[in-house]
Amino acid sequence: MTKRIRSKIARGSGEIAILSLLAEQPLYGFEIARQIGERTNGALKFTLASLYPLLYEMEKRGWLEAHWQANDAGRDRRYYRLTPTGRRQLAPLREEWRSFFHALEALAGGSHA
Amino acid sequence: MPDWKRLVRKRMASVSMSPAAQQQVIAELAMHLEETYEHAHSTGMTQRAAIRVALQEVDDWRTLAADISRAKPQEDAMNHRTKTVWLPGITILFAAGLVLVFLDRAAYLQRFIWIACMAMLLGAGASEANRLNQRTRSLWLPGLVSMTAAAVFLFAADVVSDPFLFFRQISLHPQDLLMNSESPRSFYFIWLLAQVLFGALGALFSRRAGGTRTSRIVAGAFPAIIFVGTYVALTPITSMFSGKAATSPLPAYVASALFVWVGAPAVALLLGAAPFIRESHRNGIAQSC
Repeated sequence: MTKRIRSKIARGSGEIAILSLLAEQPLYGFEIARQIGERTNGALKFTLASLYPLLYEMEKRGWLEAHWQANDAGRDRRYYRLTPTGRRQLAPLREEWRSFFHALEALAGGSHA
Repeated sequence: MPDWKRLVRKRMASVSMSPAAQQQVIAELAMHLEETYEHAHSTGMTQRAAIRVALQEVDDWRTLAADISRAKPQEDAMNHRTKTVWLPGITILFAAGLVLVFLDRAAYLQRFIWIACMAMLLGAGASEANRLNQRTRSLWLPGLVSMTAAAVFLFAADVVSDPFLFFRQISLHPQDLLMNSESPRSFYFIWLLAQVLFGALGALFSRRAGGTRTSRIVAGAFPAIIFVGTYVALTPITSMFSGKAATSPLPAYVASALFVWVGAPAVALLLGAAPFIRESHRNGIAQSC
């Protein structure tokens, strides 16, 4: 698999992971990375370098919007939440990935037969 | 513990974006590193090891700076709605207010225009809330809120104490304006001509900022929208507080005032805005991208 394809898959999976997570509640960057790592048992892992360019890109596309909010300790965090446009992306993206995995499974099943 | 902001600022020096956007990115990334460090430290790691874990979040800072420069919206200094609606609206409403000050007319309407300008500044402030710094959010914006509230209170107090003042002052006696006195008529003619210019300016600013067709119409017709808002909001109040409401010829008076201050100016504004309302091919493509 070329590096470009790998990068596209990683990017696509990152997008759907972020959209799915933010569909539940608004979160800030560190918490997004932590929850994705925890809920996928480490299969998906975001570092600062991989997370923020993707968040900003999704924000530019109008899928996410962000606002600063201070927590009880007075620490300013930038919370991201889904926009209606972002919410509309979720279902087709999930469908696209489901089809992709079915196709891979079919291929893997065929090679075993 | 390291000064994370300083560290990020130094390593992200090559990032290409507005200073305000850069500050926000630095603050956000520094916060992420700080929390990564604290999380690692809380699991029992030594301070040194926790710092190393935090720093491992980024392999190559130059690549990250380039990725973020590409990903961040170029218009980060100001959002779309502020550029295409609020600012053009404030500009032409302010210009309309200045014309009235210069012509020494409609003092009551002038007051309303300044209040509307303050309220629209608040709208623009709310629209830009994500990008405002702490002092603006905690001092200047709340200050503007209380100023606007105080101005609205005084305005409302005048309306309540003399319900017909609003119609006398704002309408400039529409019947006289259109039929009798020469001086109000020449003022009104200048006023209408100025609206053509204001409409053109509003729609032009909105188009240059990439505004949609609707944004350009709204920006171009802003004074008329504000004036119609005045009538809609204040007519019930004046009727309510006026003992003569039932017997006065108010509906006809309101209708003529609406024509003089809303209908005709709206036509003039849209006439000026018309050349800039049409969707250009370039903007259409930009919208769809």
